[in-house]
Amino acid sequence: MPSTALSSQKTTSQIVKEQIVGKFGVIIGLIFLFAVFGFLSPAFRTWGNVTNILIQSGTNAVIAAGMTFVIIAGGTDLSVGSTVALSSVIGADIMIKTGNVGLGIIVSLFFGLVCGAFNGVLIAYIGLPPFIVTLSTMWLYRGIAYVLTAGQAIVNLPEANMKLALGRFLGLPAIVWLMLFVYVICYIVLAKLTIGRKIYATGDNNESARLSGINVKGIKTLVFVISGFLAALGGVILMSRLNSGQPVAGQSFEMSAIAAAVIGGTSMTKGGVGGISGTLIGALFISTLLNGLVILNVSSFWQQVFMGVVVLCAVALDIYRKQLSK
Amino acid sequence: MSKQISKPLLEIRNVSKYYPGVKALDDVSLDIEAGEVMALLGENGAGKSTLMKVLSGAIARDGGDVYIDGKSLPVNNTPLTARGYGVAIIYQELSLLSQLSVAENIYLTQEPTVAGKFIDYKKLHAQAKGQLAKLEASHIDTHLKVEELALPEQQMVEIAKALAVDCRVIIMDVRDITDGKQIKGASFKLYSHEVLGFGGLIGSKRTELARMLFGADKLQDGKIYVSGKPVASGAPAQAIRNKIGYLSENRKEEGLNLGMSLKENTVLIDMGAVSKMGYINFGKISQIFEDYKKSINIKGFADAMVSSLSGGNQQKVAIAKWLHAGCDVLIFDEPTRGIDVAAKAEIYTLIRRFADQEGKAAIVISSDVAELVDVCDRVLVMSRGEIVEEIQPDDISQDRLLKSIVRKGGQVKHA
Repeated sequence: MPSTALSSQKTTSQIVKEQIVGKFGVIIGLIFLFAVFGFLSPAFRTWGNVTNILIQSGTNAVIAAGMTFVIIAGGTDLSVGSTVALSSVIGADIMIKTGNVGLGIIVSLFFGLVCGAFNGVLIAYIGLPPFIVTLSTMWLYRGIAYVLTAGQAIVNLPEANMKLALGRFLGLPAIVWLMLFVYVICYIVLAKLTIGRKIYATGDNNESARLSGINVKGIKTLVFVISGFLAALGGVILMSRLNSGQPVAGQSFEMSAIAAAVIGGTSMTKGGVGGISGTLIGALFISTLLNGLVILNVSSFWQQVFMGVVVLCAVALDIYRKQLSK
Repeated sequence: MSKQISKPLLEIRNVSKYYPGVKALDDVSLDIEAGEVMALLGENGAGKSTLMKVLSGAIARDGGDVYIDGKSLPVNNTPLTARGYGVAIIYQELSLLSQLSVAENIYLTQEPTVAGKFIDYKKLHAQAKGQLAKLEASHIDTHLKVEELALPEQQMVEIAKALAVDCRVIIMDVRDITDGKQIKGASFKLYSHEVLGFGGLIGSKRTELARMLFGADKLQDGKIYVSGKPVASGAPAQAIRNKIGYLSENRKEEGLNLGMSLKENTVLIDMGAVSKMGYINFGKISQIFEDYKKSINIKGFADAMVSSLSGGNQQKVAIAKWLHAGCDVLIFDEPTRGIDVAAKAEIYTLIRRFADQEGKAAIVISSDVAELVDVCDRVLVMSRGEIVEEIQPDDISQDRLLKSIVRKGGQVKHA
C-alpha cells in the first residue's frame, strides 16, 4: 500500500553510502593512488614530484573546469582541444608581431571566447545538438589553426612568455596558483551565485527551467563561452610551458577534460549532476596516475589501458550512484 | 451481445495498481464475453489507460488476476507474453517506427522468413497488402515509410499491425484526435479575487490557451491586458515579469527540477529575492522553504531531492514555487492530477486562499468536473480551441457543467 510522504525519504545509511560513492569516492581513490605509488617508488613521494603533478595537471584542470559547466548544463564540448590550438597560435602570432606578451594573452583569451560563443549560439539558438556542433568545430578550429600557420609551430616567443611556467609564489608554481584561482572562481559561480543554480536547473530539466523564467538559451550559450575561455586559458598555460604556439597542440584534450569531470562525479548521462571540486580531484587523479606510471617505467601503451579502465570505473560509479538515488 | 452460460473470454478479477501516493486501480473486476464490444469510459485519471496497460503488458499489476479464455495471465506480463495470450492493443499515440516501411511495421518481429533468418520481403509486402485490404485501406503503399503517411493512414497501419497477430482481445485506446488547429479568437476577462475555471474535453485546447497566455508557446495573434494595460508577451520570463504564472499540468516533465532540492525548487523562479548581486543567501532560502512547508503542509526535508516525494507533496512544492514568484495571476493546469484525496482538498484551499488576496486571481484548468464546481467562481467551457459557453456563478453544478462539456464538445466533434 502506498505510502506516507516520508516513506520514500532516504535512510541515513543510504545517504552515507551515496556520499561515499559520490563525493568522497574519488578522494579516497586519489589517496589510495598516492599510497600505492608512494610505497612503490621513493622518487614519487618527493615534494618536487608532487609539485610536478600539480603543474602537469594545470592545463587539463583548467580546461576541465570549463567542461564541467557545459556538462552540468546538459551538453558536451569536443572542441576544447582545437580551441587550445587556435587561440594559442593566434596569441603567439600577436606576441611575435608586437613583442607584447600581455596583449598576446588577451587576444588568445578573446579568441577562446569567440570559439565558445560560436558553439553556444549554434547549439542554443539554432538548436543543433552539442555533440555534433562541437565535433564539427573541433575540425573547424583545428583546421583554421593549421591554415593560419601553414602547419608550423610559432616559436621564439618573447622571454616574458615563460614567466607563468617558471614563476613561483609562496613556494608553489605560478601555474598552481592560477589553477586554484580558476577553481575558486568557478566554485563561487556554480555553488554560490544564482547563475549557478540556473545552470544546474537548465541541465536538470530544460523545459522546467524555461517555464520558471530562466533564459535557457542564454545559459547554454554562456557555458560554452566559459568553456571556450578556459580552454584558451589552458592554451596560455601550455604556450608558456612550451614557449611556442603550436597548431598541433591540444590533441585529445577534450577527452582528458571529460574524463576529469566524469571521474569527479559530474554525470555525462544526466545534466544538473556534479560539481567543480570533483573535477579538480579528477584532474589531479589523472595526472597522478600518469605521473606514477611514468616513474614506475610503465610503458605509455599501458598508461592508456589504465586510463581507459579508470574512466570506465568512473562511469560505472555514475550509473551505480543513479540507482542508489532512486 | 451473446449472453450464454459459457465462460467469459476475458476476466479481470480484483486487479490493483499502486503508484506512490495514488491508487491507480483499486480492486477492478470485469468480464468480457466473446463477440462483445465494451467501451470503457471515465474522466482523465480515472485509470482506463492503466487498466489497458496492465492487460497489454506495458505495466505490471500489483494485485488481482486476469484470465483469457480461462488461462491466467502472468503477473510479470510483458507485451510479448500478452501477445502470446492473444491480447493486442492499438494506441492512439502511435507506436509505429517512423523510419520503417508500412509492411515492416505491420509484421515487426514476425516477418515471414527464408531459411529461418532472411526476411522474405516479397511475402512480407503481399501479406501486408492483404491485411490492409481487409481494412479497406489497400490504397496505402506498403513500401512507404510510415513518416511519409498522413495521420489517418498511420492509424490504419496501427490497426493493421494489431490485427496481424492472431488475437482474441483487441484494446483500442481511442482518445480525441487533435487536429493541429489552434485557438480561435478566444477572449475572456479575469477579475480580481476570482477563480475562473476552464472546462472541456481533452483536445479542447485549454492547455494550449494557457501556454500562450504564459508565453510558453507563441501567441499567434491577439493581446493580453493586465489591469487594463496591454503587456508584452512571448516568453515565460516576460510573463513572469507581467506577474502571470503557470503551474504546468506535467509537474515531472515541466513543473519541477526533480534532481534539485525542495528548497532550491521553491525559490527557482525568483532568485532575486534570495540573493544580493547574484550571491545567494542560503539561510534565507531555507527560511523561506520552512515557511511554505508550514503554511501549505509540505511533507519533506528542505535538502531532499524533489524526486523523493509523493505526487501530492511534489505538487505542493510546485505550487510553493509559484506562490514565491509573487504573481498576480496564477494559472493552475490540472492542479490535482494523480494526487490523493487529502492533498486535493488542501490544494483547493490554497487556490482559494491565493485568489482571496488583494489584486490576485486564479485560473483553474481541470478535466475533473467536481473540481471545477468545488473551486471556481465562474467556468468557461472550451471545445476545439473555442470558448463555447460561460457558466455563471449561480449556475455552476456538476450536472450543468457535464452537460455543457459533452454537448458543446460533441457538436463539433467528428472523432
